[in-house]
Amino acid sequence: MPTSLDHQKLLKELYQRLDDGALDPGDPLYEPIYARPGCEDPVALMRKHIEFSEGESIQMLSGFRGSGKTTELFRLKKDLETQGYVVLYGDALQYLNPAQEIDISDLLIVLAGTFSDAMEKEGLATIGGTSYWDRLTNFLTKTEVELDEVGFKTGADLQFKLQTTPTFRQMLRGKLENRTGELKRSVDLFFEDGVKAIRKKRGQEFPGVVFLFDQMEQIRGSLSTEQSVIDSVVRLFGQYLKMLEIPYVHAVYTVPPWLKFVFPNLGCKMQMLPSIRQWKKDANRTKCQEGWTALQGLVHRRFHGEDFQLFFGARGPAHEKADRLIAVCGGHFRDLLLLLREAVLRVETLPVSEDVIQSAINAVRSNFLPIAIEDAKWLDEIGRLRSPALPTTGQKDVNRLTRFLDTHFVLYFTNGTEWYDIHPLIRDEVAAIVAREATQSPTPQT
Amino acid sequence: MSDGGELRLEKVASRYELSGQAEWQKLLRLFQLSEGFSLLVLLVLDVDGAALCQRELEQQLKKEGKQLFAIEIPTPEALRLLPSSLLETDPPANAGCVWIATVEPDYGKDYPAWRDAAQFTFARLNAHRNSIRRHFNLPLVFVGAPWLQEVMREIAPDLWSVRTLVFRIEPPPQSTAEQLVSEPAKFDLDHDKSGADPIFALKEAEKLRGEPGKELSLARLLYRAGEGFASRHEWPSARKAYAEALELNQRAEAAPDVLIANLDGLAIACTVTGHYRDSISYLERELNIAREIGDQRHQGKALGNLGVAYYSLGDPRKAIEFFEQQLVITREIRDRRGEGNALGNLGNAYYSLGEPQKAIEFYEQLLNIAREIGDRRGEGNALFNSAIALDKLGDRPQAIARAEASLQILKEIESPMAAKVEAQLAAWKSQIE
Repeated sequence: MPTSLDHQKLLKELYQRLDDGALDPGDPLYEPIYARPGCEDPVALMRKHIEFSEGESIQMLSGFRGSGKTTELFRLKKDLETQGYVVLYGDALQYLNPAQEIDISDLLIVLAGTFSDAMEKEGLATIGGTSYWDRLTNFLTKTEVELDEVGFKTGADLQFKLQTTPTFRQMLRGKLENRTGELKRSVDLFFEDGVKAIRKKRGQEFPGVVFLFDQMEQIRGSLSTEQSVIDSVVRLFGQYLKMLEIPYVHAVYTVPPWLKFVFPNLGCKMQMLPSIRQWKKDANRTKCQEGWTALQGLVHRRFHGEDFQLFFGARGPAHEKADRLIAVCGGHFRDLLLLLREAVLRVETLPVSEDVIQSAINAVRSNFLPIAIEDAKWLDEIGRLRSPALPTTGQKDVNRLTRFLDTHFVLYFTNGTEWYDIHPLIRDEVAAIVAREATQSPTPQT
Repeated sequence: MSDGGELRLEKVASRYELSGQAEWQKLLRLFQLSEGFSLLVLLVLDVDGAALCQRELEQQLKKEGKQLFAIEIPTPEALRLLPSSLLETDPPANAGCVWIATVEPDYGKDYPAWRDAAQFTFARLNAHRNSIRRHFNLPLVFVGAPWLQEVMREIAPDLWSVRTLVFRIEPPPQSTAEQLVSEPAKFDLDHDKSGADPIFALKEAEKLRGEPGKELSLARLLYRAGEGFASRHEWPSARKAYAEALELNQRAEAAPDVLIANLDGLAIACTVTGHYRDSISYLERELNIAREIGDQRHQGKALGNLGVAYYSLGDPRKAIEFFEQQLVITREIRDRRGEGNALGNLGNAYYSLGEPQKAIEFYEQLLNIAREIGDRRGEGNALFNSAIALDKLGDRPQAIARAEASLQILKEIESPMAAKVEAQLAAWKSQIE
C-alpha cells in the first residue's frame, strides 16, 4: 500500500487523468475505441468515402452528447493528413450563435469565412492576398447592399461584427434574402480559388482538400424551448442540402443526431458515432468481448502502468472491480469516466474497496433518476424491441427520443445493422416502474 | 451574519453532520485533487443546507488562502439574467470556486417561478458549454434543490454531459417512527432504551487501554459507551465507540453473542448516519454468526435491519425481500413484536413503491398484532400509517377517522408523534374547508 503522501499524489494524478475534455488522437490518454477489431469504425468509413470519391464529397458526422465527435474528427484529420490530404478545420461556433435561428445565407458566409481563417492559420496562401471577409465586402458592394446600412466598411469589421453582434447577422440575412443564388456562386468561387491557391502552394500531386466543419450540431437551442431554432435547422437540411456541397472540397459537417429521424433519407452519407457495444442484440444481452476490450483499454490508458494495480488491487480482483464499473457505463466513455471519478474521490485506502465501487455506481445511477412513468413505458419498449419504437416522426416524439439519446437513457449501436437499447443503470428502475404501473392498472372483468 | 443567523446555522450544522457524510467528503476531496475547470452540481434540500455548505466550503478554501466567489441570485428574475452575465464574470485571482446557488424546494411557494427561470437560464447556458469551459479555470458550482438535476439534464443536455460530478447533501435520516407526518412512520430501530453514561464508560475504558489481556473488558466498556451514545441519539460517537469495540472483540475472539450485539449496534449507528453500505456489511456478518449458532431471534433482527438499510439506500424492492424473510422467521419463533415490525416495514416499503393498497393490508395485520399484545404505540402508528395510505388512495374521510383514532392513542401515551398527527389532521381538514 502506498504511504499517505504517495497515495494522495497518485489519486491527484489519477483524478486529473479522468478529465473528459476532447482529446487529440496523439494524446497519450486517447484510446482509439472505435478503431478496434470487431468495432465498426465510423472514421474509417468516412475516410474511405473521401478516398473513393472523386475530388469532392459531402458527409455528415453525428453522435449523441459525449460520444467524442470532436476527438474522432481530429482522428479523421490526422488519418487523412498522413495520406497527404490538406485538411482544414473550422468551428461553427466561432461565428454562429447556437441559440439563434440559422439561415442558408448565414451558413454560406460562415463556411467560407472559417475556411478562409483556417487557410490563414495553416499558413496556406490566401487568395490574391485577401481574406473571404474582404471578398464578401466586395460582393456586398457589387450587389448594392449599402455597407453603411448594415453597419461595416471593411472585411475585418464584418468578421468582428459577425462574432460579436447578434443583431448584425439578422440584418445581413434580411439584405441577402433574395440573393441566395448569387451568394452561393460567390462562395463557390471563393472555394475554387482557395483550392487553386492550395494546389499552387502544395503542387499538383496531393489527393485533395478536406474541410471539417465542426460544432454545427450545437445549433439546436434547447429542444424543449427553441422550436424556431430547430425549425431553421430542419429547413436548412430539408431545402438547401445541395448548397452545402463545396466545389473541389470534401466537406464533413457535424450535425444534430435527430436529423436521422426527421430525414431518414437525408441525401448524403451520415455517420453516427455509436455507443461501444458491450452486449449483443439477443434477449439475454450476451457479452460482446470486443466492446469490453475497448473499454478496458480506455481504463488502462488512464490508469497506466502500476497505477491500475495500486488503485484496483491484485490482478484478478482488480479486473473484477474495474469490470464492475465498465459493466454499467453503457458503452459511453464519458459515463465510464464519471464512474471512475466517483470511485477516485470516494476511496479512502488503496486498493479501492468493493463498497466504494458500489457507491460510485449508485451515485451515477442517481444522475438518471427520477424517471417519469410515461418515459419508463417507452424506454421499456425500446429495451424489449431494441428499436427506437418511435410512435411518429413528429417533432414532439423526435424531441423526446433525442432527449433519451442525449442523456444516455437510450443507447445507439451499429454492427451491420443499427439498433438501440436502454442504459444498464436504468434497466431495473424502468422494469420496476412498468411493473408497478401494470399492477395498478384496472383489469377488465370477464 | 447576525448572532441569530449563526445560531440557526449551528443548528443546521448539527442536523447535517457534514463531516460524517461521504458525499461531503467527496466534494472536499475533489477540491484537493482537481485543477482547473470543473462543473459541479450540488443538490441540497433547502436554503439552510446551501448556506451550511457554502460556509463550510468557504472555511475550507480559506485554509488554502482562497475564497469562495459567490454570484448572488436573490430572485428568479436575477436568475434569468445569468446567461448574459456569467461569461462577463471574472472571479478574483484567489477564488477557489464560483458558487451559484438558487435553492427553492419544490414545495416552496415561489417554486414555479424559480423553475421557469431555471429552464430559461439553462436553455441559454447550454449553448455556451465550450465558452464556459474556456472562461473559468476553476470549479463552477451550481447549487440547487434536487429538481435542478432534472432541469439541467432535460433542458441543458450539452452542459449536463460535461458535468464533472453531482453531489447530494441532505441531513442523515432520523430513523425513528416519530419524525414523519405526511408519510408512513419509518422503521423502529429498537434503540430508544435509556442507556449508560457514555462518558463515564469511556473514562473507565481509558484505564484499560494498552493493558495486555484486557481487550475483552475494554471492548465491553467501549460497547457500553456506544449504547449510551445511541440512547442519546449521538450517532457518530456511537458509531466510533462500537467500531472500536468490534475491532477489539474480533481480535480477542469474543463469544458469538457478544459479536452479534456489537455488530447490531454498529450497523444501526451506520444506518442512522447514512453509511448504509457499511451497515449492510456488518448486518450480513451478524446474520451469518446468528445462523451459525442457530439464533433465530437475531437472524430476524438482522434481516429486518438489512431491509432498513436497503430501504434507506433507495432500494425498497430489495428491502422487501429481507422484510419477508424477517416475517417468516418471526412467525416461526412466534416473536409477535418482531412480526409487527416486519409487517410495518413491509407496509412502508410498499407505500414507498406507490402501492398504498398493499401497504394498508400490512398495516391492518400490524394493527391486529399491536392490539393483541397491547402495544399502544404500535397501534397508534399503524392507525396513522394506514390513514396516510388511505388518503393516498383518495379516501380522505376514512383517513381522517383513522388519524383521529391514532391521535387519541398517541395522546394517551404522551407520544411526541401526537403533535405531528394533529398537524396532519389540521392540514387535511383545512383542505376540505
